[in-house]
Amino acid sequence: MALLEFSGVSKNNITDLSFTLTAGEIAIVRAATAVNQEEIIDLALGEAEPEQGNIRLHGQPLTKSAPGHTGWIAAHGGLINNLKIWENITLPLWYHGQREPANVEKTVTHWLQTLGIEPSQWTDFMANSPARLSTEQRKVAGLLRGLVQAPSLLVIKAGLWLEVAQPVQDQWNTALEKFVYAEKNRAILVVAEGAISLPWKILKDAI
Amino acid sequence: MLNPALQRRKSGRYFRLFNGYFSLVWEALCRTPALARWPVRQVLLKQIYFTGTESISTVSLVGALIGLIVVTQINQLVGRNEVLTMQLLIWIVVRELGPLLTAIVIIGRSSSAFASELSYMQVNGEIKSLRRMAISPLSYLLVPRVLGMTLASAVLTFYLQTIAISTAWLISKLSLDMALRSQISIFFDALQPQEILASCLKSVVFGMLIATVSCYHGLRKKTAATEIPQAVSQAVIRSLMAVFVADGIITVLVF
Repeated sequence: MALLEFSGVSKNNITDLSFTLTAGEIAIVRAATAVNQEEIIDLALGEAEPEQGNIRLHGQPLTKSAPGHTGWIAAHGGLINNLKIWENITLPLWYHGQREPANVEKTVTHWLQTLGIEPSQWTDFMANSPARLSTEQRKVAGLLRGLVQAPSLLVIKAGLWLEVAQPVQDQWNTALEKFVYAEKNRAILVVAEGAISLPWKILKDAI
Repeated sequence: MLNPALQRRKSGRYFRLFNGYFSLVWEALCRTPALARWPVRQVLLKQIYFTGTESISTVSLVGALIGLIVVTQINQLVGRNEVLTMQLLIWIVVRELGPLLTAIVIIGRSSSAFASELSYMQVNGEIKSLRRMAISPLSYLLVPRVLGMTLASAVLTFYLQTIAISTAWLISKLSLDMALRSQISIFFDALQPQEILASCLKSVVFGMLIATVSCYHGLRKKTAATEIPQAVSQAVIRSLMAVFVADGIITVLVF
């Protein structure tokens, strides 16, 4: 079943982009430039509207009318610096009123375990501010925020995997696959720029 | 003399600036229902704490010094005249200096902080990140700042006036042996509802203006960190200008 559908989408340098991402799939769209990469991310998240063509999520036009249905993982976490990590992770959930507090804690614990973070580090990690974390820890926090939000469509900027050791990358990939397979109506779109080696299929190349 | 083309460009720039401020105030007012969301309320509480609670010591000191300075000057001018002293105290502290000095303290403490924090968020891509999480930066960042500062400004103005007037009563009692009870009674007899209204109106308008102007300069599109100091200085100078202009307008309209 098609979860995300780009049909003849044009916007600035992107022309006539069409692809379909099905539920239960993790796929990559490769942009030719960083500008195009940003455009595709904005389009897939409903942040920008196409000049031509249309984008559908679950068969409905993708608009901002369904906040929380799309989630976003930035290359370097995309964290808000004046919030603690716990506040950062739960921000989209509380803002969109998606979860009960007890469930949130349970979900965060589940993903912390899946991402292989030692339980002894959880409290310090959550109470820290982004500025005091390493680049990799910030990426983990961003990843955690996307997973905890549990959107139908998770859009990831491929820079997330850059400068990360292979065993850690493998652990993250396993977590992402678990996320997609945990429920029927989920998919992940990785938007890359340039060469990237990830174990998933490339939907579109050099856009 | 400026050439006409340059004058037109300058007036166009000011028009865009005023238009930007008013659009932002309007946005903030229209988006107040966003306070129903818990993270927005959390930011509101942080802003009230930062702008209000953390300014108490500065405002206390400014209030006490103003009370001391004003009453010393009045006593020099009118001598031991309780009625005139209280009347002048109302004119100076309640009508003008209370709201104005509170606004200046707030500008010094919070206007620059708002502008630099929001500018940094802009340059650092945090605002873009909020948008991509379908979180409106106007609802999440602007609304709590405008409301928090407006509330803090109103409460701090009342607090500064209370400290200044109490100090003035105490100084008059100590230096000219004016009875406290009689000073208080004369003060409240002379105080008109119109003066309380003007003071409240000024404090609310000043708070709203400072927050809006600071957020406007903080949220304007920036691409480099070198633009942050410019945004901060513009926020401070234009907040001051906005407060003085608003003070003039309210004073002319009310009195």
